[in-house]
Amino acid sequence: MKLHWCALPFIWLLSFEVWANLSSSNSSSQKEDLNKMLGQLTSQLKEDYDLNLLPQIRVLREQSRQLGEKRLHAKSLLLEGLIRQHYGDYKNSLVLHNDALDIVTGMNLPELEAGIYLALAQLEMSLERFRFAQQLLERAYSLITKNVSNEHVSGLLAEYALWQGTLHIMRGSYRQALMILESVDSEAQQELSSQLALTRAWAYLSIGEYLNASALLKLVSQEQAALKENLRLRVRYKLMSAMAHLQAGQFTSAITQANKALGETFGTRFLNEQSMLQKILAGAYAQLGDFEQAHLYLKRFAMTEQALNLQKRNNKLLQLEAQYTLAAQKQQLSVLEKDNALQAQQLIQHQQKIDNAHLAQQRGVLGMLLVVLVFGFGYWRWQNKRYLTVLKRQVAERTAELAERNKRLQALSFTDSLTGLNNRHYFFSIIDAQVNKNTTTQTSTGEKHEMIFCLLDIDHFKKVNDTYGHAAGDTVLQSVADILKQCTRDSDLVIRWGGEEFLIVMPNMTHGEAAEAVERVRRQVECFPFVVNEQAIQVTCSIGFAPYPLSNQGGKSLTWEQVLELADNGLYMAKEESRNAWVGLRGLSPPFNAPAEQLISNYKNLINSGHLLASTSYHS
Amino acid sequence: MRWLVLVLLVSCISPAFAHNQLVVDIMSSENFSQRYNEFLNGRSPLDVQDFHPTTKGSHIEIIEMVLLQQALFLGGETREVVFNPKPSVNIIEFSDMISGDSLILARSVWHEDILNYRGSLYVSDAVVEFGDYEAGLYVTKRNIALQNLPKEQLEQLTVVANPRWRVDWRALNNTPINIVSFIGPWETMLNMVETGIVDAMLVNFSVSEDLLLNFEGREYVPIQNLKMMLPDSRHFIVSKRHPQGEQIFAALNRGLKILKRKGVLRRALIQSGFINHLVSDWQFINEDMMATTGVVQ
Repeated sequence: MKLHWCALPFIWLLSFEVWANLSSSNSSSQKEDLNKMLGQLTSQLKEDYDLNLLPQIRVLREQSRQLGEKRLHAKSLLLEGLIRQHYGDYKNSLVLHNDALDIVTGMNLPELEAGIYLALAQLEMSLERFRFAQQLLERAYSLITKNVSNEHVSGLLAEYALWQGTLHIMRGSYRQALMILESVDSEAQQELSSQLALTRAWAYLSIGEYLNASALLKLVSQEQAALKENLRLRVRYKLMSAMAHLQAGQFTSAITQANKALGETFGTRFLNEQSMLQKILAGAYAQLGDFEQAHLYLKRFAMTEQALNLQKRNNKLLQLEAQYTLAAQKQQLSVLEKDNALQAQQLIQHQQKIDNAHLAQQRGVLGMLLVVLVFGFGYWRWQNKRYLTVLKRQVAERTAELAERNKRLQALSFTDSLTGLNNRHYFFSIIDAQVNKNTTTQTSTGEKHEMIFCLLDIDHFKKVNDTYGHAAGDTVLQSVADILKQCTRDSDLVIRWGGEEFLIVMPNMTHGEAAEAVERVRRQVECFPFVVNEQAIQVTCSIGFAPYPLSNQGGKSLTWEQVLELADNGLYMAKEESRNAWVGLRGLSPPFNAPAEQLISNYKNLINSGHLLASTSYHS
Repeated sequence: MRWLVLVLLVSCISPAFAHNQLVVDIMSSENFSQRYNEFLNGRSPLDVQDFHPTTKGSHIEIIEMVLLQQALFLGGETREVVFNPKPSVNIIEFSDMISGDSLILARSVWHEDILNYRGSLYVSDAVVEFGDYEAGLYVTKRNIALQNLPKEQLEQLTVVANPRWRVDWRALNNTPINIVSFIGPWETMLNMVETGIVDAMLVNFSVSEDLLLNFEGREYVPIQNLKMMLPDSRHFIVSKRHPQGEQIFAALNRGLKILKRKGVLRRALIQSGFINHLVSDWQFINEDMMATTGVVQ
């Protein structure tokens, strides 16, 4: 390739650094040996890129690696990279260069780092990747101007200019190339300055300035030592000379120079130079009219170009393959990403479905809960109602029961337990109602139907009790009660008044009927065979009664209490008079009139005086 | 006898006739005669002072035909110029010129194309100086977005270029623009732009007022405010081998110097629209290539 010869300054730089190293560090003889080895190798590389140097370079690399000499390690990598680059193994060369860069980065060795960038730029130029090369050169330039120590700046800047100029020429910006190349301090090292001059000449020739080129070539030709030592420089010099001669129309000189150069390149890999030389020869011969030779070289030129193009195509193909692999990987990645996105979407959908199902489930459960609740509530309500009904019924039952009990209690309280008759309590509870209900009616015989209050007392009952015992008394009382029940109407009230005293209230009854009734009672008692302690005894009773209503002449009615007192007076009178008798008041004899109190207190007298009309069972 | 007299007459006259004419080669592929006559519009080429275009399209080749004649005349070559169409291949390879079969070419050539033939060719002073040749990146008129592409985004652009057009190729190689290499007819390249295979194509600025390029009804416009400098100069060439070469070249170069001194050369380029005033303040894409330090023209 065009650029291989340009690697030489780099090698020079390496050797320069190595010698610099050598002078500064003599501590280890081993290191010294290695440095010497590197020096030898770099100087040998100047001659030609001999493949036989590779084992030595690898030994150097291994030893420097073991010694931890990173500088030497990096430099050995670069040397192998250069050889590989020269033989077209750009890929591994690139790897080696980058390995070297990795080692040097961060070691604060700006000179070496800049050198690696320049070497990488050269590599990119070989691959015609001009934009990358430009970037690398800019990086190198920035390092050189900012970080590199002053002693190395001018050398590195010259080298940078050489590369930048070369890049400009390759891209076809010849004037830019000239500008950068002319800016270089000519104090640079001999060999480098020769190369700079040659590159400048190349730029001049590219724009047809062959006179300027010739002047430069003349300068280079004076560097005999460098030209003699460096094949690459020599070939390049002759190529430029031939080109200058051709442009000047000095065809014969051009042919001579070109042939010499071609002779030197024979068997080497200076394909670019070969091609250019062959083209020059073809052009020169054609312009001389020697078309046979022109044709020959044109053919050779075509073949060399073809070989070059094949090489280029191979490199491009490798680049394309790399790009394609990258593109394919990207595509695969994008497919994967899409797939992932799809899966993620599906996952989301699934999740959504699950969520929906959950929601539906929750709704279902909620619904069921609601239904259960409603049912439960209904059931509760129903049960409640039923319970209430039961309760109500129970209450009603209890109430009824209570009422019944009350009734029974009342009945009990209204009943005399011994005789089964109603007691005084009962009498007082109903008498007012009975009195009000009572209506006095007159019979056809002129007798009035009245309410008769009648009091009965057993004669000598105390004697019975004392003689036969209380149980006998009780039996007597029960028997009298039975008799009273039998001898009265249903509408009549029979009350056990107290002790051996009974009260009979007979409504709607005439005096005569009352007299008959009490007489019947008296007789019944008199005749009743009372059996006490299996012994029959006779018991009699005395009765007094009075009618209600009873009015004195003044029209003043007596109360039923007063009437009862009158009946009691009658009873007392019957007792007093005969016993086993009755006294019944009929009414006041007109025109007798006296207040009720008087009637009561003077009862007997008033009867006896005839002021009170009464009937008796005895005859007074 | 009569025949003999006639033959003698012809043989005497024809060299004389030939002596009165100067044969200038021209590329047969360029349909020059019609456009040439349209431009002259009855004027003698030697009288043309106003180079404003009367036809559409860039026509540097017509202007050069006129300038060549004026230069030759001013340089002392007063013979009538006759244009002789030749196949383009011959002309590109300059073989006839080198061998001396052709004397002179009516069309200027890029300097870089004849560098190696300078021993066989006389190279005139530049007709178009380095830096004067400008071209635009033409895109389809409907591609509004690209028409206003800023310089900073040129790396997004893909341009078709013919690597055999060395100057175009070099110009594009010194920009961040992506290049699709194509060797073939110009029309096909334009069609590549039309069909979107590439975004743009490097074309001389059109002389129409809006810089619009109309080709077979399709319209193309340059990316606004950006122009490319084609980094080379153009020259007339004269054969060194031809017996009249030295004489004609001397006349031509003399005449060209006069035209240049009188400002006719530049005026012609400006009036014709080759140096287009519409883009004079446009930004160069490859201004770095103009570096002139140390270059002696």
